[in-house]
Amino acid sequence: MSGEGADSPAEARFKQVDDALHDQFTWYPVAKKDFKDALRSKGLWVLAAIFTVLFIAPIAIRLYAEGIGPSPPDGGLDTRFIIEGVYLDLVTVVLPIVTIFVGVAAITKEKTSGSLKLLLSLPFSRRSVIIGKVVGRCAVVAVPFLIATSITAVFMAASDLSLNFEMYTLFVLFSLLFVLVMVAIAVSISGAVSTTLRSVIVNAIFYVYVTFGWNSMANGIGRFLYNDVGVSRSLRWNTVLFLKMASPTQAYKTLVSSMLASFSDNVQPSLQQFANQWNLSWSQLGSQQYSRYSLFNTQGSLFSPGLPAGDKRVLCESVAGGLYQNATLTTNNQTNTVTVTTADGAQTFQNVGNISVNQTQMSSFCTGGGSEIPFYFSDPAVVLFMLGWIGLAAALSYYTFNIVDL
Amino acid sequence: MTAIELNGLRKEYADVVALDGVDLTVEEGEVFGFLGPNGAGKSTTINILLDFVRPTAGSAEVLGHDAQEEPTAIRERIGVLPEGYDVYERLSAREHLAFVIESKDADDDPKELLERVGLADAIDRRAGGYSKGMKQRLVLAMALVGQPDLLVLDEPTTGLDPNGAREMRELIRQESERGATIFFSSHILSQVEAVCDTVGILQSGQLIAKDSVEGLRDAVQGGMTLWVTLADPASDIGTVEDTVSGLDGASVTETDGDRVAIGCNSTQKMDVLNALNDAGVDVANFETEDQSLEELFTAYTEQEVKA
Repeated sequence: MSGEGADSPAEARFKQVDDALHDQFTWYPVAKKDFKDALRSKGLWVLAAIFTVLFIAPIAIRLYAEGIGPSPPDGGLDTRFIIEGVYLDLVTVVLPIVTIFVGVAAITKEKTSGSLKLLLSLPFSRRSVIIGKVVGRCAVVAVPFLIATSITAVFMAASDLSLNFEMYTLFVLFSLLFVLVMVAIAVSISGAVSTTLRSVIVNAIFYVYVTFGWNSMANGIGRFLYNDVGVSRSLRWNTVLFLKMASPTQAYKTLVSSMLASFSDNVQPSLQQFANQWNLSWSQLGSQQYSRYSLFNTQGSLFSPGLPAGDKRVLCESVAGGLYQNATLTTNNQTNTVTVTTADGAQTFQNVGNISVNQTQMSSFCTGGGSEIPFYFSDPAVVLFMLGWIGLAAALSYYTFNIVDL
Repeated sequence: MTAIELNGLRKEYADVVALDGVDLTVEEGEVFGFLGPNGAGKSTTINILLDFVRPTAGSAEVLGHDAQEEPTAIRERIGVLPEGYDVYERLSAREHLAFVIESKDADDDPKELLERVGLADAIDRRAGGYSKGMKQRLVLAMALVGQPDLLVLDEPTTGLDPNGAREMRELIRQESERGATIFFSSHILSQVEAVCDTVGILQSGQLIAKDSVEGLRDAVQGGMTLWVTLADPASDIGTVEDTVSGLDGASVTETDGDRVAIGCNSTQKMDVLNALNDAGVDVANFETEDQSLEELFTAYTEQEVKA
């Protein structure tokens, strides 16, 4: 298109990649056109600005307004806390809204205007049109997302916070996988219905259900199976976790949290502390096991006592593949000793401090040293769960778009 | 080799039969006019050729490929002006063509194509601001990309002014000379007549005739409508009916207040008027009307019945 004879090396390289993609993928021109079309609208840049504000604002407020300083530089805890405490919820709540916004009219708009007829008069199969749309719209979300996360990374590195680059990059990559899944769903819904309004309705129901209703549904089914059908605790909690993993949002959250846990030696700080204090040879759960186990209310909180011990044991051992261990601490104020009884036996500690009362206290921990996490709950399986949604979207498109009359 | 081959093509929608067993062959290099009133099933046929809809029964082959099995192989070799299309608002004409050129692996020059359809002035303007006629020209230019072996044009002259329609015919002629087959649908007789070699007439989902354009002309010239305005309709109308029914090949087809329509052969016009005069009918005015498409269909259906 340009009149200049000699292209710069970068342009030549770009053209090479462009040609290669063109030769490789029949859907490529559709995706490229769709992305170019979006570049024309201001939307893409507005999106980049919104993402940037959403990512930087929470940390900026904490750092400068609330005056909470950075934690000691120990292996990227800052990065982990920000991702776990802020970004994970931000991404799971906001990103699906954005992907729906971007994908909801992808096919319906072309259907109702008639431009789909032009598209399908060209050598594209309907499958190529759907794939091209998914890829194009993914780029429409991914590019602003990458711009925003890059700016945020620069901001974090320049601020007092420590940035764990590897952890942050993995978080961004998992988020992009999440974007792909959500765009595929939004676009396939758009291909399945006749008008944009219907697409908006179906997409909105899906969003609300997946983001806010899915976990209660999973827990409800588990409760029903256990209370009314009478299945074992083990089957109950395996089913619940399986259902939770089946939600794209939860699958994404789980992948990120096991990735985050894999960066810290002390996955459960309290376990580490306890084991060191009483000279126990308990090991930590693996990062995947920990993230599955902590998905449930196993810790208890200020407002909720946490699950009963029996359920915790099942979750620890038969779901996460850990080892549920009890330690009984018996204090004696006559001898000034503490006796710690575990499955391995009893140890008595002298001169622990001033012990004023005689009491017995039991503590329970889910530790490593059990079996491994079952393969169907492992990270690769969770990735497959997410890809399963792409498969589901493809099946929906096949039956509602590929083989029907337009 | 045949460009298009339809065999027993049938399409049923929920409660309508859109196509009822259509057999049709379009030879390569032909300029084929697909004629029929709105709702006859022309667009359904074209939609099946392009695999936008799937037939209930029968088969459609385009350039040797089954339309349902190998739609992309077909689309590589055809250019289409579909019915009820729209362009991409935010993209310019140049970008539209660049997209089609890339999609078809062609190496046309967008400017050249736009010059051929008379839209070169608007090459870098967003298509969202184009008039209906400009959009039509743009889509036509898109259809020409890659020198397609077959051009499928669904009602290509709607939305064009007379000048645009003339240019369209010129373009069809050029493409035909290049060797392309042209499949052209229209509900307007004169347009089909002006450019086509062969004509197929579709009515209510059935192909009622396939004829050369000469054959069509004969049928067209064979019949016309003579509108006679009576000075005294109340007393004369009966006389008109009696007189006309006495003439071979003429008949009263419609009455509208003081006007009476008489279907007759064009050579008979003066005979009819003379006969009315002889019978003492006071004719205040008369005008002639070329045969309408509907009447043409009637002519063909009757021929078929006779044959």
